[in-house]
Amino acid sequence: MRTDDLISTMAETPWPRLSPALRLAIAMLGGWLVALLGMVLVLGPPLAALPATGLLPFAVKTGFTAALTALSVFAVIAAGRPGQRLVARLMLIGGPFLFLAALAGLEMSSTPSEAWRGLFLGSTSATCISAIILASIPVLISVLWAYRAYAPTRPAVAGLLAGTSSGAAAAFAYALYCPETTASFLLVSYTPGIAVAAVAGALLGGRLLRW
Amino acid sequence: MKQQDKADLLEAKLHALMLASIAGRSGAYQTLLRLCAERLRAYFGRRLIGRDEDVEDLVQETLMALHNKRATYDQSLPYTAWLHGIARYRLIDFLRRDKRQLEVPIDDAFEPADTDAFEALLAEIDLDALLTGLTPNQVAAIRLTRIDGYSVREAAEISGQSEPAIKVNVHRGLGRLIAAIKGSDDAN
Repeated sequence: MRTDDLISTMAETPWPRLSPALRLAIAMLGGWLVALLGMVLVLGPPLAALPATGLLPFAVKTGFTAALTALSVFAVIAAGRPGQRLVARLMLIGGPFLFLAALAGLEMSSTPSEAWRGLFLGSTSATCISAIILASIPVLISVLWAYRAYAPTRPAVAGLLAGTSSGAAAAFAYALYCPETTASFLLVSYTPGIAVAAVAGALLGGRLLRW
Repeated sequence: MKQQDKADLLEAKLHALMLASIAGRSGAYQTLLRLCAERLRAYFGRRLIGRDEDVEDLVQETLMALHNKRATYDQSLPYTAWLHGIARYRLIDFLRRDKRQLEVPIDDAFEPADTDAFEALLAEIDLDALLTGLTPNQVAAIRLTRIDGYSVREAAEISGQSEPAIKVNVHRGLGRLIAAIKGSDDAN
């Protein structure tokens, strides 16, 4: 086909209605609801632990995971738009972790060092890590599917950010159940699940997000 | 016009065309794609010298990518940055695929290029004009050994020059030819 004919053909097709960002948001919400449904089936109704933990720890957990989700979604969208600068957005993702680390430092300074183990691991660490990893699977699948509308010039980096978004969204769902109260626990037990999702996203993204 | 001003002007035009395209004006979109095709042809052409077919394939592939991914353009950012990002990605992808194609079969024969362009170029080379300025003995020695393909001994018999004289005349004649060609290059 001659290049001019190709151009004429393309110029006649209408502009897409659904923006990639909207498509991504819808897909992500869908995957997240599946993850939440899984948690309801396995762990029971959400928010049951809220009276025991109090509002402030709940706010820290949901705030941390919601902020991490939002920042990594913004970064993954930027990674899918050629010509966008990524570095600042990547560094912003570190923000919620720094905030948690500061809180954890406060907790440690007010706790005798023999009790630090309990501070970090709580009693539900294993449940937390596996719940986040499992819950991130439907989110990651739907995010990667919707992300094909984007044009990542570094597919593995985009995959890493897609995985981080999925892990963070899964952690947000789990935060509705989590009976722990410390920021130290969040730092030590939420991070591994999110990291596993991020690495899975990077490995899958390097293959699936080429275009 | 300065290089930077030129780039700014191009950016302003492309950006305006893209905004018009998003607003649904297909004429603007067609103009935009034509301009992009020109830019891409130059961009790929500089990197794949002498591979015009590959360049044109790559231009078309990239135009399709620009079209299929048009919704990923952020209107607050330079259009040229977006265009360059996509072109670069397609080029890297092409080179990656190309590396495998470079495995050439063993029985791949070297075919002389018999295209029209090659013929035309050949026809332009005027042997007689090149050989003027040499002595008759040098012309004869070069013609017999280098163009007609005789051996030094045969050339000596045909021309009546001695064998050492043939060798000297070929050597000096070619030396003057090369000097003459270099001289005309410098003049250009």
